[in-house]
Amino acid sequence: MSDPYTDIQLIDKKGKRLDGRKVDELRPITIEAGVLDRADGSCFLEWGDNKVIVGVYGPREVHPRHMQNPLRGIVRARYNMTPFSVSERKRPGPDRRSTEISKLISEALENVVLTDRFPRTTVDVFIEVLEASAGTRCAGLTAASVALADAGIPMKDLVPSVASGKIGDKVVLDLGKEEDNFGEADVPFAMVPRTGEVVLLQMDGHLTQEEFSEILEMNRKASMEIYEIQKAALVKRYSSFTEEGETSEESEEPPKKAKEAKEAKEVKEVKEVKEVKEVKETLETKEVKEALETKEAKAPEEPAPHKDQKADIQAHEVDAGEVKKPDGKPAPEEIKSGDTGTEEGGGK
Amino acid sequence: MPVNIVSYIKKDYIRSMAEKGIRLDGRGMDEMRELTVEKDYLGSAEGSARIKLGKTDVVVGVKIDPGTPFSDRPNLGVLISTAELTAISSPLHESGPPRPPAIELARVTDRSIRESQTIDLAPLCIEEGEKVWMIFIDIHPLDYHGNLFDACQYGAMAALSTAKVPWSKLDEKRKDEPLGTHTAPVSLTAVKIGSKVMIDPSLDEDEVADARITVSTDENGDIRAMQKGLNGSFTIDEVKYVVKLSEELGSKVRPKLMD
Amino acid sequence: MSDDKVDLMPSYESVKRPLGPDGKPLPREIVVPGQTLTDTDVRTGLGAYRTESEVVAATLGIKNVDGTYASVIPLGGQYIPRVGDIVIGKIDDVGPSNWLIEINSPYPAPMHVNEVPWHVEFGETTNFMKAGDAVIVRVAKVTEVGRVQVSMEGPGLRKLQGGQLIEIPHSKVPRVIGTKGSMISIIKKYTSCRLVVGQNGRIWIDGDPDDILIAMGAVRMIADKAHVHGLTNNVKEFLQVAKGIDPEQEAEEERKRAEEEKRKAEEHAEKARLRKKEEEERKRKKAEEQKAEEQKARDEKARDEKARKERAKKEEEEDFDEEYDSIPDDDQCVDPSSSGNGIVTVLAPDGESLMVVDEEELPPCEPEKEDKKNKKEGQ
Repeated sequence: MSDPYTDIQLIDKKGKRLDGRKVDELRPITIEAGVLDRADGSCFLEWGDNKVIVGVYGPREVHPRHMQNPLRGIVRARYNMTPFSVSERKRPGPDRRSTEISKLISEALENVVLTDRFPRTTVDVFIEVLEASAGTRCAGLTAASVALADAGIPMKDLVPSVASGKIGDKVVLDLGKEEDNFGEADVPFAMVPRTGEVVLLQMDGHLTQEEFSEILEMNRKASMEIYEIQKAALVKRYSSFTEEGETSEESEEPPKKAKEAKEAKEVKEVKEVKEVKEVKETLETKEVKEALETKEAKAPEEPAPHKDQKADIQAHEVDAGEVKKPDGKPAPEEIKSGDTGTEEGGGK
Repeated sequence: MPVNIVSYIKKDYIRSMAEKGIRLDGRGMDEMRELTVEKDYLGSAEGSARIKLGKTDVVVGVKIDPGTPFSDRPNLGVLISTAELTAISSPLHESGPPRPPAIELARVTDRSIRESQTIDLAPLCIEEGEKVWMIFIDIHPLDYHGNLFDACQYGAMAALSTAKVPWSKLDEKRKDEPLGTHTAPVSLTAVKIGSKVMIDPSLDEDEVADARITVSTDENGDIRAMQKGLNGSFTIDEVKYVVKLSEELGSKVRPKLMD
Repeated sequence: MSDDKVDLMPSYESVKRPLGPDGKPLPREIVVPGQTLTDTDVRTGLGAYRTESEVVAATLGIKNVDGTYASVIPLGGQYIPRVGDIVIGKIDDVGPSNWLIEINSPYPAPMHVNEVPWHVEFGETTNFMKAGDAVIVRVAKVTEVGRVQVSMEGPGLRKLQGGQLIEIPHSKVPRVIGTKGSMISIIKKYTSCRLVVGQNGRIWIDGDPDDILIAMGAVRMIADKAHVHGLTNNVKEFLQVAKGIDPEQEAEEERKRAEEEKRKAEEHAEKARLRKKEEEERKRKKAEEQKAEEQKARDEKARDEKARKERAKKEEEEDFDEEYDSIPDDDQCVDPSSSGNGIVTVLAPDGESLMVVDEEELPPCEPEKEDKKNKKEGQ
C-alpha cells in the first residue's frame, strides 16, 4: 500500500521495506561507551544512519543555585540536533521540538536514576545528534542511559528505547526516515527492562487499538534486544578487568620483549623531537630563535642527569584499607599560632 | 560560567618546566600533537570531517542550501560559519548563547576562511538577486583538550575539501560539483607561558597561558589571518617566529586536510 | 532509599572470586545497573539497591557478593567523600571565616577557621590561604544531604607548597599505592620524589622537577593500565629507562648484592654455629672439671679419713697384746677411698712388725671384711 501524498511505496506485497528490512527487523545498532575524555561518562551510538554522541557530567553542583533540590539530585538532559544532521540545515540552538524532547528524555531518565543519593546536585546529559535518520529521540535516550552508566551514576536499570509505527497497513518495527515521514503512525517508546514499566511514550498518526497493542508488544520485545546491546557495550568497555589481570599482590612475570621494547620506545620518542629537528634545520629565523634562547639560561633538551638519592625521603601514604597512622612529627610547614605571614617558610 | 581556578602548584610547575624548555607531555616547543582526520564523516552533510588533535575532538559539517543573497552582493554565494564552546566538550562550558570566548573562536575561524577567499563565491550564484548557494560551516567540538582554534580550523578546511555543491537537488540534469577551494590556509596557535612560546597548547598549557596567538598561512607562506588573545603579550620577534612556524608546520598539515 | 555503606572502599582486586568447576577462580563479573546480584538474604552494600526479593546492581562495576554483603565495586564515577578520607583539595573561594575547598567530588567542602591549626581572626582568612592554594585535608563530616566538611587538623595535614599535582580516576588509587605500598615504593625509589596520594584521585609529587616529570609518567601509566598483567615490571622498566639505568646492569647488581648478602648471612650463621659449639665445649669442660674437683675433694676427704684411721689403728696396735693372732694376709686390703700417694702401712706377715707397701699390690677391701676385722678387735 502507498501513502496518499506521495508515490513512495514504503512496503511491498511481500512485506519488504524500502531498506530491505522485514516488518519486525531492527536497523543495525552499534554502541560504544567511554568515547570522550572530559565528560564523566559518554556513549557513541550508530543506529541505521543515525549518529548520536552523548556526554554526561555529574553529579555536580547546580547553577543557578535556586534550582537545587535539597532532597534529590536532578537530571537535565539536553537533546540537540546539530545543524548538519539533517538534509536542510537546521539553525543552531534549541527549538521547540528539541525542548520538548529534552523534557521527555529527562523525565524518562529521572525515573531510573537514584537521585536521592546525590541531593542538591545535577546530572547533565548532553545528547548531540550528529546525523539524523528517524528515531533520534529513541537513539538519544538509549545512548544517554549507557553514558550515565559509564559515568557511574546509580540507576535502577538501563533504559532502551525504540519507535515502531504503521506504514501502508502494516505495523512495523523501528521506523526509518521515509517511513517516519510518510507513514501513518509513529510510537516512540522506552521501557525499564526489569519491570516492563514504560517511561517514555508518544504517539502521532492514526491507529486502531489493536494496532496499538501490536506496536506496544513489538516495541517491548525490541527493547529487550536493545538492552542486550547496551549491556554488551558497557561490559566491553571494561572487559580487560575481568581477565586474569595482575592484582597488586600477584607476582610479576617477566614482561614480553615486545612490550618492553614498546615502552622504552615510547619514552624515547617522547623525548626525541624528530619532526621538530627537521623543521628547525629549515628555519631561516634561526637567529631570531637564538636571540630568544640567549635571554634565559641554557635550556637542556634532555632532563637533568640523575641526582643523588635524597636522604630525607618522607612518605605520607594513604591506603584504602590501612589505618591512617600519624607520621609522628608535626608538619614542618605549619605556621604556629601568631604568625600571619602569607607565605610559609620553605616554599618555592 | 564557573571560573576555573588552576592551582598555584600546577601553574608554577608548568611555568618552571617551560622556562627549561620542557613540556609536560614531553613535546618540543615547536611540536604538534598527533592529528587524525576523518573525512566525509557524515552522510547528511554536503561536506564533513572529524578531527582529533591530541585528545581534542571536533566534528565539522558543511551544509550547502539554496538561499537569498545579500542585497549588495546579488550574484555571490553566502558563507556563514559558526563555532561553539559546546557544553559536552568541557565541564566548564555552559549551554546557551555563546559568550565572548565562544564568539571569538567562531569569528577567528570564520575570518581565516572568508577573508582568505578560500571559497570562490561567484560560481555559487543560482539566480542573480534571487537565489544563491549558502555555505554553512558548522563547527561542533566534542572534547576540549587544548587548542580548539587549530582543531576547529583544520576541521573546517577538511570538511570544505570534501564538500559538493548539490546542483542535482535543484536540477535533475545537473551533477553535484565539488565546492573547490582556491587556497588552503592552515592555522597554527601558540601560547606564551612565562617567557617561553610553545605551539599547539595542551589543556594544561591553555589553562595557564599568559597570551595566545593564532596565525593562518597559505601554500606560499602568505599570512591570511591572525589573532592575538588573552591578557599577556608577545614580542615582535616572537610573533615573527610563530608566523614562520605556521608556514613550516602548515605545509605538513595541509596535505592531511586537503588530500 | 539509602543503602548501608560498607566501611571500607574496596578495590576491585579484593573481590572474592568463587571457584569454577575446574578449581580455578572465576573471572570477575562486570554488572550493569539493573542486574540482579543475588536473591539471598544479605545486606545491601555499595553500588546496589534492594527490591522485595533481590539485591540489584545500581552502578556499573564488578559484582561483589559474599556471605554478608552484596555490592558493586565501581569502575568509574566520581569520588564520593567518606569520613576519614585524606584528600588533596584546591581552594576555590575564601570567605571571612572559612575556605571553600574543591575536592574533585560533586560537593564543595567548606573548611571553617576552627579546623585549621592556626588562630585566624574573622576576615583574615586570605592571609593564610587563598584561592588557588592546594591543601591536604581530612574529610571530617559527611551528612545525609551530602554536605561535606573538611579539616586540616591532624598529622601531615597542611597547605602544599611546590611540587606538582596530577589527577587520576579515584578508583585507581589502590593500584597506584600497591599492596603495602609496593607500587608507590618503586616510584619513590627511582625518582626520589615524595608522593602524597589522596583518596580523591589527586596526587602531589615533590622533588627534583625532572624527577617529578618521570614520576608523573609512571603514575599515568599505572592509571591507564591498572588491569594489565605484569604492570609492576612495566612500571619498573619505564622508570629505569627514564632514569637512564640499564635494567640488565641493575639486575646484575641486584643479583650480586643478593649473593653478597647471602654469603654474609651464611658466614654469620657459620660463626654462630661455631660460637655455639665452643660454648657447649666450654660448658662440658667446666662440668667435667667440676666433677673432677668434686671427685678430688671426695678423695681427699677419704684419704684424710683413712689416714686418721691409720693413725688410730697404729696407736691401738702399739698397745697390742702378743696373744692376738696375726691378721691373715687377705685381711690386708686397700680401702678404695684412700687413694692418696699410693703407699700404705700394713702389718707384716710375721704379725709383729709393720711394713710399707704400694697400694697397688693389695686387693681392695670388702665391706664384710672390715666388719669381721672390727668384730675381732671388739672382742
